[in-house]
Amino acid sequence: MQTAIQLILTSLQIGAVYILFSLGLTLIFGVMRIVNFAHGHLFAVSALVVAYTVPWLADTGLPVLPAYLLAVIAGVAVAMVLGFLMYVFGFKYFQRDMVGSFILSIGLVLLLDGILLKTFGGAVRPVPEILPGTVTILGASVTVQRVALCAAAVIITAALYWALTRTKLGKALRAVSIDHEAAMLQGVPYNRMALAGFMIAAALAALAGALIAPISIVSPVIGADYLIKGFIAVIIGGLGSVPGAILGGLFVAAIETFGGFYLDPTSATIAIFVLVIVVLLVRPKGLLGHG
Amino acid sequence: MDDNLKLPYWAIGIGIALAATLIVKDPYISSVINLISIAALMAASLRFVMLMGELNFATAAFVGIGAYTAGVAVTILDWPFLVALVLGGIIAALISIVFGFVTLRTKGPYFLLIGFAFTEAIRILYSKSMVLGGNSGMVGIFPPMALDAWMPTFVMAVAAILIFGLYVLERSDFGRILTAIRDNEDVARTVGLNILFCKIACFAAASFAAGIAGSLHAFVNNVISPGDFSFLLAAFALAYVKVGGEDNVVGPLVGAVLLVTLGSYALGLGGQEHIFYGTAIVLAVLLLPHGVTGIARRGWALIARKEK
Amino acid sequence: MSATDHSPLLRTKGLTRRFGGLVAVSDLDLEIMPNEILGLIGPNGAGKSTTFNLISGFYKPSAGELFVFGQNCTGKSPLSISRMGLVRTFQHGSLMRSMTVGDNILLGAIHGIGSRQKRRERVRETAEMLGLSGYLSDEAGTLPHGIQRLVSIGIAFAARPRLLCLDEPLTGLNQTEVTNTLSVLERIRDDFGCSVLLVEHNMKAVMKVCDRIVVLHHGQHLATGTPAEIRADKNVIDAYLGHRNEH
Repeated sequence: MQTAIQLILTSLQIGAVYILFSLGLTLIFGVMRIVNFAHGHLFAVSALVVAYTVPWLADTGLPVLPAYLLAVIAGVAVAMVLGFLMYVFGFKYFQRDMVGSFILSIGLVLLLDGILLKTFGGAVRPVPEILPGTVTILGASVTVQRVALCAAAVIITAALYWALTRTKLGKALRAVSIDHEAAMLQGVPYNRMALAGFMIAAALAALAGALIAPISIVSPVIGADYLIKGFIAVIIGGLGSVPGAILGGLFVAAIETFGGFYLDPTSATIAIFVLVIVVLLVRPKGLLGHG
Repeated sequence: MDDNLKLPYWAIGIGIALAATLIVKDPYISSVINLISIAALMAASLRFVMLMGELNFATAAFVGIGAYTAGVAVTILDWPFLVALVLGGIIAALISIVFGFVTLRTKGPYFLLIGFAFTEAIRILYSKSMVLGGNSGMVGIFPPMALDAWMPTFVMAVAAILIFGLYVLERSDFGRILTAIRDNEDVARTVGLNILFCKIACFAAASFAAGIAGSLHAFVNNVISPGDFSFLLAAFALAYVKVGGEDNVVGPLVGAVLLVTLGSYALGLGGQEHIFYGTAIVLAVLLLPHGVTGIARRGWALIARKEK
Repeated sequence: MSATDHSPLLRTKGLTRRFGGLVAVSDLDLEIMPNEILGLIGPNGAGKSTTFNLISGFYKPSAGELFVFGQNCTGKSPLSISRMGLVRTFQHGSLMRSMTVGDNILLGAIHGIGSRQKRRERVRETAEMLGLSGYLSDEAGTLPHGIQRLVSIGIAFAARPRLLCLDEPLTGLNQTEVTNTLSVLERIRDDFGCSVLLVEHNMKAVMKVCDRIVVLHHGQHLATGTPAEIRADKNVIDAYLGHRNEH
């Protein structure tokens, strides 16, 4: 029983990151109909900036927690600037062009891979512990940092959900993702919506990166693995669907954790792939996909 | 309905390319020529599926399947070279038929992402299999001794035959069905054409070519490992297609020659492969939507107009 | 042969299609006879497009049966129905814009014809019949709207169907083009013995060319008859006048 709870908690923690990732991917796809493979690099950049800034700030005598919070702000800011550049000089010209935008994003993946490796080197960066200690939940012990990560992810997801359903911007974004022509006829400014959707997605990835930095090994290639899982989560849930992204993220995380424990990590990855195939066989547009 | 296959151009082009491989004696240049032939074949395979409007990132997986098939056939089963070579293509095509039967019901981003996931899953399978050498891969995949000196010519000839084969298919009525699928699948379905069957056929033909490219890769390098067949392979192939221009069959060839040559040169200078290919793709999609061949065509049209 | 000559090419029995709570087509009985042009009309939202999608297999009926050429085709795929000789067009852009007119028409001539030469022969014939011979090597997307509409019919007719279903083929055409298209439809019926199901808003044209007309209203059958009978039908007049009053 204790193992099961431990595994569930781990799934939730991994799932939280996948959800932040896949929410961004599904948002971008919904609004712009593009597939952005460089999304993982926004995550990586943010995590790298955090991993480099925290020790540096700590050396200046700042306590660890404020140092971390400052680093998070810096990481998210840098990643959002990068996202803005990607949009303005690239994706802006490839809206609703799936093939073109994907090719551009693959180019950016290679380019940023090279640049990040050159700038930061291949070595991993440890981040000092921000919130020390462990708590016991239903008999399973978890580090406080992981609980904080989950809590942050839940808050961010809830905030996004609230924004999408309640605010004017959110409603406009959803209208564009359902039928952009009808939305434009209703006076929704499409280009501004596209930029807003892209930047929100960039912020989600950046926050995920900043959150994962203290509990993971940070290297320039950290984004790739999360990106693949994030995309698989979106395929399972259905591209463009926000509930689908959450469902898919949890699904993938659960299979990865339980499969990894009872079988081995390789079989778990293969199992995820088989799951995708089965879902696509039954529902070619994902569980909650539309359009 | 222009049915002209432009055979003389093909004959001359292939003739010159093969003659060039015979003259080259320098081993470094020979290895670059091998890389170019294999790259061109992969790019042609990727472009063939693009004819029906899909981006096939599983190309990398089928290149890997071809390479591992050839490796197993030669080093474990001791089968003859030619059998191993062709088998690489056949196994890749067979697996692609099963894979395509399931995945080609999906379209666009779903097909693209599932191909990507397939590539990564297959790669994990290699690294887990002891028979296939796990993470370190397979060694000692040699072509027959007699062929050693002729390898660049042989590789180029095989690639040329397959690229020409794909070209003939493209120009046939089957090729027109593929374009129709890209333009408007529903209409094609209403006049009695079995769209799923045509898609699978297209996918299988492209995967056969990708599988042979993999066999050739294995025989040229003599060593293969799971890391060789990541999705980056498909990304490179995409770079060749985009830089060269996807509108006609020559585009991917031009792209492969340009990028592989420049890439080898840049590596020699200590440049980084990823930055090089990434920049090439980004610049090509932003500045040359029809690739180098598109520019050449427009230039040619300008000159032709001035002469009038 | 003579026995089957008078049996309907297409027959629906109680055909019904629901979308959630909405009944788009309800309990529809429809017959299309050999050698006729049958008009299917009705105000917007009457269920014409749904009917069209039901008989071509693109929608599965919620209830009822569909017989094509005497065979029960309820629930069959669009592919198998089209291979039996029922070919349809689409309301919007029923052609391949990036391909030449010749290659467009060729698509209809591929299935069932093994020889390359015979396919090209079929394309030439079809193009000639439609007056498209001069456009064979032009890119379809660049041609005027009227020509594109004819190309759509050409793709479908190159398959030499026994029943050709056209979804609003006259939309956006000028008077000359309408007259021309109508005479093409008559030739398809008279010279090739192919029946035509015509869904169309242009009432004048429908009255002129159709042998019989079926009127739908709110997903239900309202009237069937010759153009003269339909014109005099009180229910039809009410439905259309009522429809007009709503605007």
